[in-house]
Amino acid sequence: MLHDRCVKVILYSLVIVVLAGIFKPAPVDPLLRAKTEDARFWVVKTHFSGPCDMMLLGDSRLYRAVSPAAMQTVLPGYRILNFGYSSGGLNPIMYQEVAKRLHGTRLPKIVVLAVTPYSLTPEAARNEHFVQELTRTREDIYQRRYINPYLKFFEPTTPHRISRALRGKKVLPSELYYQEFHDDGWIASWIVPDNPAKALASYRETFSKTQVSPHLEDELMRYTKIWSAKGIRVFAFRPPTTRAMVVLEEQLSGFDEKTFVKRFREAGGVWLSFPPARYHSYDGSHLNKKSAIILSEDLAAKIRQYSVARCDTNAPSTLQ
Amino acid sequence: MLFNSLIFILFALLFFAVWPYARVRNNRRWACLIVASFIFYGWWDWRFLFLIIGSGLLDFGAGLGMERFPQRRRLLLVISILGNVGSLMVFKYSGFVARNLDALCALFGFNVHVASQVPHFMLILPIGISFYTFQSMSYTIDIYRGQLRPTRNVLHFFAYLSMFPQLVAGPIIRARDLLPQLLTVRPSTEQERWDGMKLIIQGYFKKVVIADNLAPLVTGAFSAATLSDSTSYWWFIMIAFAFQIYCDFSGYTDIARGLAKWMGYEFALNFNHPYISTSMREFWTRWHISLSSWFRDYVYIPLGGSKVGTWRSHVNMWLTMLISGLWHGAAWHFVIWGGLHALFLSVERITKWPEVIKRIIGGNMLALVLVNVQVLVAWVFFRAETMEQAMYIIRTMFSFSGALRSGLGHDDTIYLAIAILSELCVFLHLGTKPLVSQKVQRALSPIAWVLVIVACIYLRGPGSEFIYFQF
Repeated sequence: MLHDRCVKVILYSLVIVVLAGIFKPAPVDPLLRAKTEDARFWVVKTHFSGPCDMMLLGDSRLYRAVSPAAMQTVLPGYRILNFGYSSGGLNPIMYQEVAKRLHGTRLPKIVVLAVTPYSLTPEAARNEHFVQELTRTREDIYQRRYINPYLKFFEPTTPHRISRALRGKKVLPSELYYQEFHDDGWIASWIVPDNPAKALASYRETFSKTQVSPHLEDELMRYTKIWSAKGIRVFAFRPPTTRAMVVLEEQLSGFDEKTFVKRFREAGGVWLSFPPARYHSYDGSHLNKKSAIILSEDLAAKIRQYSVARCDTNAPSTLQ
Repeated sequence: MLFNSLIFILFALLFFAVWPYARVRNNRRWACLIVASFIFYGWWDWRFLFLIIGSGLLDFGAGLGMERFPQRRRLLLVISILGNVGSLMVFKYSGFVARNLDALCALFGFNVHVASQVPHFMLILPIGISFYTFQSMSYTIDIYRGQLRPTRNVLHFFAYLSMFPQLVAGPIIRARDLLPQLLTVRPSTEQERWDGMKLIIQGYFKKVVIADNLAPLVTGAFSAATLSDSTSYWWFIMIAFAFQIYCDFSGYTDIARGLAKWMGYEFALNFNHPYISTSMREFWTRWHISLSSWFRDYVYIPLGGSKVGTWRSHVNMWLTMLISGLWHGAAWHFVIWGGLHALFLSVERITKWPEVIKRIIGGNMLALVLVNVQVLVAWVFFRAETMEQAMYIIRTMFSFSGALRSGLGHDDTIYLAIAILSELCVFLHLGTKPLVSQKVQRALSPIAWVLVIVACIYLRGPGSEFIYFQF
């Protein structure tokens, strides 16, 4: 049997694959190193089916800025899901997800909308990231969720990385993007070194192509009324970011915060404000890990003030 | 199920564990093949198994009917063809036809909305439908022509039609080639298993290392918000796409052929280094051979082929190429791709330029370059997302403008270089003479293939479906 070349190849491969896996150069960039965790994170979030008392909707400024676990220290017993997506929109498709997922037992049930000008644009309304995650095949979902974490050893490398490793060169990228993935929908993130002006150029370009849609604002108000009528408390806030970004958005996005807040309150929602100086953005758009925890606690405290009189201490304190 | 998925590896392990026991008796062997193939296909969407079963039963019945009622052969053939072409029309072309009907009516001032009335299920393209319907049609056509006797065993027929290695992306195997093989019980030899393994490893390397690593570069170029205005950039991108689609598709057929060898069967060669062709005619004898020979035998020759005069033979060739374009996808840019190839073939037939060029020094290499320029230009229409995009890229490729850049990163350059050099080696007949004795070669060969396996695992690109699944 050992003279069979196929058997030889299989046996040799087992040994060489293990050795290559041990010695292969790993990526220096933490962003690349976390690809498996990243893939698992989005599958877990999108296909979350457990009971949930509070859902937060928004874009990356939400999912990087609000930690449900930190909120639960202020709102014990509340099962909270951060349902933010990259370039995520506030639009009927996402609102319908609320109806599918807000099945918790606590009252009142709560929806929190993280309102950024971008989230109200037609471009965001394509919900590309959410749709991409939602339409994955069963097999893909299963693999990303349960199998890939065990296959991290076999993660691929590149010829360029191998050649650098062989020459003993270790070139660090100009910035290191760190991320920690949490099953409750939060990604704690930070960049070394900080660059609070980084996101401005891309936002300037984005708003030259797309603007806040009055129709999407109307839809948000309509759903706020519907939810309020059903006894769901609806909160909204503008995720804190740098002063420069706020000015840029005011000038280019077509978003009028004053009018929006007035209409939102008339629709039955509660608008929450946070002093931007209290938080720090690492790229001019997203909050760093430390600020995200502070914001989450502040947000929970304000929600408690408005709506949570009774706490069911028997309910589990974390999302499963 | 994708060949490049973990679930397929498990499926294949299980199948080849059972296969030696299943293959000993005809019915058991065929049943094993059918069950495995249905699991393989149904993994994607089990509902579309009914389509394979329906189309298969129609052709199985038509085949038996033709033998029993020879005087009704023509009618039965028409029924079989209508059934197969009908299912293609419903599932592949209904949206296309409806959209074009809307546009045509709009031209004459009528506001109709046929496209929005097409039921949703008709817009889902069942994977591999074009492959298995063509395979199924060849069965009845061959019986009609008296080139094949129908099988009386429905398991035998479905084992042929649904055989999983080639079910969704070919090669399109003719019934007269595979049905007799399925009747035999022949354990594979060590040499066959070794050849099969080499084909499988080579197929995976082409797909997961070359094609999947070139894919992000090509996708990025075609989906950019602002398309590049650099001539050199688009030539490099089109070369990258040419090798992406070649490695993707020929990688799939290599794996299919290797699996068949392990099962004890032989699938004919489907790709024979097409980019080393020195004429367009030669290109079509090397690219997707099973499809081009299908079109030759069942469309071009029945139309009269080249024996009906020069003018008619050109018309026949144009029709065949346009249908071949439409076979690839229900969109006008695929038809234009087929039309462009027809145009290049016509020009070549009339001018006989390859023969003229080959007479000069270095003429072979020049002919190879000219053929590949034509193939690349045609690929633009195949890959572009819209006609406007295709026209913009073609203009840019021939405007000799913009910055001189390739758009290739370090790694893209390496993968593309491997692909190009390996084809060049074949063209220049390099590596045909062994450097070491046969004994040493036999001992070292497994080590080389182990390294290729390691490359497949650790140099694999971002996984994606095989391109030809969509056809």
